Amino acid sequence: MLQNIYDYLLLGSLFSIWIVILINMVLVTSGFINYLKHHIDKRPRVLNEYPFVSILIPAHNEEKVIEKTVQSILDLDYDNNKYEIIVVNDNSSDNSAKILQRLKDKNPHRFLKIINTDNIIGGKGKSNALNIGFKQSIGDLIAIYDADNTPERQALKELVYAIENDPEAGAVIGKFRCRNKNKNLLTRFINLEGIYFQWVAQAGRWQLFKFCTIPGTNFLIRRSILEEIGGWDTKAITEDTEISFRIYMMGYHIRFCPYSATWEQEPETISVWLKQRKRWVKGNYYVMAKNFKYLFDKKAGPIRFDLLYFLSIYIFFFAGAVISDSIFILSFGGFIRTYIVGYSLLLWFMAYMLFILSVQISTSTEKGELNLSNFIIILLMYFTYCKLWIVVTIMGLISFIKDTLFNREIKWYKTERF
Amino acid sequence: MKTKLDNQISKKLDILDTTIITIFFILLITFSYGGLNRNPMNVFIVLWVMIGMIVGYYTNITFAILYSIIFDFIYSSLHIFLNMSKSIPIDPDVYFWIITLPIITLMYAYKGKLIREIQLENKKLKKENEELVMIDKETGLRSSQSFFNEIQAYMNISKRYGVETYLMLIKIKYQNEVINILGEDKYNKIIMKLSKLLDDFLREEDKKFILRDMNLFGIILLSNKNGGKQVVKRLKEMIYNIEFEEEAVINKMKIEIIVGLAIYDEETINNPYEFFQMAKKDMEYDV
Repeated sequence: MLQNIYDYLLLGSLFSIWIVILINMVLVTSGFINYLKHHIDKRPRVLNEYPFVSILIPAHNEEKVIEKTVQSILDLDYDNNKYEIIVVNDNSSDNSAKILQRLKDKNPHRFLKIINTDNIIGGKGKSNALNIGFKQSIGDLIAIYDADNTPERQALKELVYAIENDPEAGAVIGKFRCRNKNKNLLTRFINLEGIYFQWVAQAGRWQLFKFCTIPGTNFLIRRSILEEIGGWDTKAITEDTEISFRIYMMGYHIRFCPYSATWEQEPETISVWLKQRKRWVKGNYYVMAKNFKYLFDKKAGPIRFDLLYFLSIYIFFFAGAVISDSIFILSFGGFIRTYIVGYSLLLWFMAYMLFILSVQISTSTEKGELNLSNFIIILLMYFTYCKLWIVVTIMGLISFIKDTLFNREIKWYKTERF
Repeated sequence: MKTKLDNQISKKLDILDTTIITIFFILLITFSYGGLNRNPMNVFIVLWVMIGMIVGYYTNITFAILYSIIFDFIYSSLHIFLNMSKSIPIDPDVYFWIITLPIITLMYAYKGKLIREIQLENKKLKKENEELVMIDKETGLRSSQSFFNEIQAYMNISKRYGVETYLMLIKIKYQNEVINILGEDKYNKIIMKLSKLLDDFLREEDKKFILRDMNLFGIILLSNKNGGKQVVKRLKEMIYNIEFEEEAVINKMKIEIIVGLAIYDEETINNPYEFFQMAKKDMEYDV
């Protein structure tokens, strides 16, 4: 059966792909159980008394989107006297300051604080901006929204309800959706990816291990926790994963609340998308390298699963995909000969079918997403968008290695707006 | 617009059913002549397809997809394992089932969804329709749906133009006994006759209601000083002398009515319900 080195390589790569498919299937199933739970539970989610919340919005050169974002947060369905908005306009060189001042003048009776920083105290990245805002905040609960977000009106209320009813939750996260999904094929892909990610990674992990990671926007965190860990780590490239892990190490968990949703703007061109994703991948490698020790730490609990998941995807699945693809291409071109094509084809076919069905199942519970055009996009996605993932992972890996070798410093990584 | 929508759903159902029947015909043929019967495993898989159809039909699309995911994963993993360990070749029918099971399961789940949609819509429309029925089918009088709304409207008119507004409630005396003796059928005849009489006797602009759930007739009328009292008196006489053709039994019984009359007074009556209660109270004094 196995006749040469290529066969062994192929076998190994196919096995790692199979493992990842297995993990994914388990997560999809637990995501389904989570959906079912929320679907059946029809109890009203209302509190007698809502606590005071501070909303932080870090922004850096966001003149294109900031006005709508702040306006949508001013319009939230939450007692106006029970929340303050702190916009940290961090070292912006565009019109943001003027736009924000105008907004403040228009709403004199609202708790809207604008902090403009220069390149001396500010300009050191999102974590630093959040710390500046955090120092000026007074609420016991801190909510964070990115500068391009449009939260749904009840988004904050749902998050507050969830955290108030779960004393063990250090933070509560909501969902994010793609606001400009109809712009082009890329944003449609991103939209489907986001829905799928939330089903598998957030709802699935939450159901299985009570584990989620903070997505960077639309989440609520307790002030006491932030104070205990000393705010955001300005040196970390992925401050959200960093904080998530620390919350779990403190014995709290992060709750997933599917009722709260925010709509954000996704990249509309490949180059912007590549840049953004490269940063994410790099961040994930960084997290893996930094927290590798937890893998053998019993106290780490669900963090260990997350690291394993990262590991299986960014090392084994990545290697498997690259190896099997190159062997396929080489043998197709006649350069090498393999003898185990039979089941590798079936494995490939199974992966494709399960991919289609898994994305489809996550769209089936979102209003207006289960339709023919999305189905065709999913069929295409596997051969286009998913292959780009390999490119991004290679780019991120190279960038990560370069950063570690040359010790580059952290700065604002900003996604270009449209 | 509505009918167009319904047609679309039924068209989809037609297409679904036709396709499913065709698929099963093809399956039948391939089982008999195409060699699918050579492997007993295939019969077993058909069972899973059937279960998937039932599961999909009774639950929803999400559950049907989950079922397909689990089936596809286990089924293909099993074949990969068999191929690796026992060198059992992977036949095309493995691929066939990996695709066919999700398709059929999903089609049936979709069919279930469409049928549920139609049922829900039907239920909703029926309810809406019931609420919209303003005219009592048998008597041609207005039904109770709009009764309190109309009272409110007349109260407003009275307030604005200073016209006296009366609310008259009419009930058949000894109603339960009448039903017991004559039976529902004959009682209905009395109601019909009374309705017709009321309709003829009263003016066009007086609003006549039949409140079936309370066994009452309700009449809203505008009149001058003491007009209401006059109407009651004449009405009573008329009903006392009423003659039922071909119904000697009823004639012998002499149908009588109880009438309650209330006049709208801005000071004491705040809402239609209070007005109604006043008229009802007045019925107690009609002995």
